[in-house]
Amino acid sequence: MKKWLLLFAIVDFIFVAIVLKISTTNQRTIATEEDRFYSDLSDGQKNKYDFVKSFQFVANTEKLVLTTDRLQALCQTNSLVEIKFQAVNVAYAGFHPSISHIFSCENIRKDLSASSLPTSISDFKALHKTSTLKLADSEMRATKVYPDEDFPTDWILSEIIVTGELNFSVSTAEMDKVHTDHRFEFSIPTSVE
Amino acid sequence: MLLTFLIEGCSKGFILRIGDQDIFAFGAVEGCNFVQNSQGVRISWKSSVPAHFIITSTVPPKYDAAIIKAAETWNASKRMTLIEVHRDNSYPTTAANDGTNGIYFLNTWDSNESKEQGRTAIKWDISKIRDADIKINAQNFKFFVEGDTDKAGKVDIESLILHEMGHALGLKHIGDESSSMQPYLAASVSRNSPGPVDINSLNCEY
Repeated sequence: MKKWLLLFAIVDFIFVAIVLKISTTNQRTIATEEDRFYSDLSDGQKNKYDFVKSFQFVANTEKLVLTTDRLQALCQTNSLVEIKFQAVNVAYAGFHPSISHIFSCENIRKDLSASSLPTSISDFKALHKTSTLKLADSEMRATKVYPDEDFPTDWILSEIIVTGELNFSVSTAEMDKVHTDHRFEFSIPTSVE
Repeated sequence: MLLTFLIEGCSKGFILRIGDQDIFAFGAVEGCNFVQNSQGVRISWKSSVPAHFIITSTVPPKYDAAIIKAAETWNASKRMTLIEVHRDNSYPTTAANDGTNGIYFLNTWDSNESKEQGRTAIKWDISKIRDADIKINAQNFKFFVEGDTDKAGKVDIESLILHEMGHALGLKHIGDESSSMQPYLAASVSRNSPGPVDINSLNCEY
């Protein structure tokens, strides 16, 4: 009996060792591929990759908030930051409904601690009935969001468009490349419409 | 004071150097003029063709032949049955996200979109269309069919339905002059056959 128990313990030990070996090897492979991808990027691409890496996006029943510790640096040389949200499972005449929230860097620079770009859900949903919404410090615009169609429920933060001295945008594909778990998707409940 | 200067000075001194050309996501899927989902995958009916469309009671029967012909034109261009159409006057007269595809003539249209001749909505799961509805703006436009002599100020309903059916198959607008997916259809003009660019697009998905 003791022999069988000893044999079982040895087999178990070997099995665990093999599993550990395989799992750590894979991690190392993935890490190496990421490192290689990053090291092959140009300096500008690295800056952009690091910028996207800094994104933190939170969506709850009250607001959508994109946070980046690079916001102040971004606004040193630029004038507008546009966050574009796009409906993910519907298109009208070949276009996804989209909602843009445009922030002025002038306002962002007034508060040097500002690192977040918040959008209230109530403002977001208000664009079902109007195509433009002027807020105290920003402006929202809707495209292909029709008042006589259902308001789309499933959305994604699809693009960041920066306008100013250096114009550039961050696409969905780029956000997916850096953040692989699709953390930029969110749902808008229609029950409270 | 010195500390504040150092912090603000450092903060202002750092500039995020990114330009238009600094794109690092490579290997995007060829769009083929199809609507794409957020991962860049083309949206279509996949193998679930033909897509069945119901001509609802909102559509005047005199337009049935033109609607059926538009579907047959898409089918002939691809040499496969992509779209089937039949009339069902018992079908609900308002479009819904119900997995059934309808064609509607609407006598009231959003006043902000009065220049819109028609609107096709497609809804999908992952990348496969599950619902499509074609709405025609009958409030702001008049239509003509083949054989009509009075075309002045009227839109060719066959060309318009052909275009909307292109959207229902997943296609987007395109500027190519031979394409039936050009964004604007002028009054009294007929554009009732897909162009080579449209057929090439369909070949990517069907």
